[in-house]
Order: sequence, then structure tokens, then C-alpha cells
Amino acid sequence: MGCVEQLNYEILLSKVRFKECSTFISSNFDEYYKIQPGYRMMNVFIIGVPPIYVAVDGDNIIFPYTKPCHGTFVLTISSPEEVKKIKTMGELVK
Amino acid sequence: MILNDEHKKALLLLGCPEVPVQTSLAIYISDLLVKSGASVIIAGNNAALELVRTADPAGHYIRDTADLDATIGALSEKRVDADICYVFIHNDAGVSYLATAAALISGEAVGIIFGNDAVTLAQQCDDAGLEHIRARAVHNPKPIISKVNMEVERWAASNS
Repeated sequence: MGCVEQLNYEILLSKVRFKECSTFISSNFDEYYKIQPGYRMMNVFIIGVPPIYVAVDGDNIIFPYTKPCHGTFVLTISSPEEVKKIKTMGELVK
Repeated sequence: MILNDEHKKALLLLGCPEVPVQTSLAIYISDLLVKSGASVIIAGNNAALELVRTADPAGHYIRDTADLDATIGALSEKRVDADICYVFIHNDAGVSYLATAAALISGEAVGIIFGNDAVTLAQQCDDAGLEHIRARAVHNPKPIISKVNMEVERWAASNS
């Protein structure tokens, strides 16, 4: 198991409640999917309170990432492979 | 991370160790579970696990420990399962871990909510349909101990 620190990510939202991340993703992106807790995104597993939303913007994937001591972040990473995967495995919401 | 198949499997997921009662609660619950016949894994980040290990240097109460992220991965990939998972909650992240455990294990997932925000966090769990016990314990575990006793007794009785 890896760590998100090994990924080349950008932080869109920092140290907030999980629900705020869900609202941020559903309010700011035109294409987003619902995933189950434990969904694998590169070398990390996504946790959260369902519904967990993951958005797509071109080749970028936008997702919530929770740390026990720091709350939840919304991160974006350029990954055509993960975009392709979420379109197959995720449940399209919008 | 090896569990004895003859025993019921219990998993404790620790949160950030900034609230003092967490470490003693983890050791206390582990002891109750072992006495009830369960095998116990305690998962947490490095700091949370070092606090637990340091408080039990001879390993009288703590047997197996595991990295929190690796444990979530193992649960997700079905390499590990639990009959009961107690998730230690004193912040919003803890609720996310409880929801995740509830979705991934075949057994029960129950939140142990403590700290200054216990009421708010309990409401979040209720809203998400997550089981929990709670008390506003920060430095002194006493307010939540009787609830912990009853909860572990309930689980042990339901599996005897």
C-alpha cells in the first residue's frame, strides 16, 4: 500500500468535513461518479461516508482523501488511466 | 496480519491520537475482547500504534497491530475480514472510517465516540445509519467505560 504523498497531486480543498467535500465535488464539476468506500485510486483506497463522489475534468480526476488527524481534502491528479477506470467502475451521477 | 480462524476476529481502528483517552480505551477494549475469546488486531497510524505499544511494553494486552491505510486496503481487497470492528471516533475523519468499515466487513462495525464533539459526531453517525456508543470523555475514560463494557458484552453474547 502506498501513500498519496507519492502522487503528483494538487489540493483543491483542505482539512474540511467529508460532507463539504461531497458538496464541493457535486457543485463544481459537470461530470461526477459515485463510488463505494474502499475504491482503489492508484495506490490509495478512498474512504468516506456514502455517497462518495469522484469527478472527472478532462484527464484529471478529482477525489476526496481523508487523513485521521487532518480531516478530508479534495485532490486532483492527472491520470487518463484512472479517468478511464472511473467511467467503467463508477456509477454516473451527472 | 494473521488471524486464528478458531477465534472470532475483532478489529480496532484507531483515530488520530490527540485525545488522551484513546490509547487506554484501545487497550481496555482489546483486553475485553481477548477475554471473550476473540483475536484482536489494532490498526492505526504510526503515532497511535506507538502509544499503544509503549503503554503495554511486555505485550500483555496487545498482540497484533497493523498500519491503518494498509488495513483499509486489505479489507477492500477482501484479504482481511472482521466479525466486529470498533472504530475510535473523535473527529469527522473517524466517521468516514466507520462508514468505510461498515461497508467493507462482513461483521458489525460500531463507532466508539469520545472527545468534546461526541454529540455532533454521534448525530453524523445516526444520519448515516451507523451504529455507535458515545460519551464526552476527553482526559478521563470513566464516562464511556460502562458503555464499552455493555457493548462488548452485547457483541460477545450475540456470538456465543
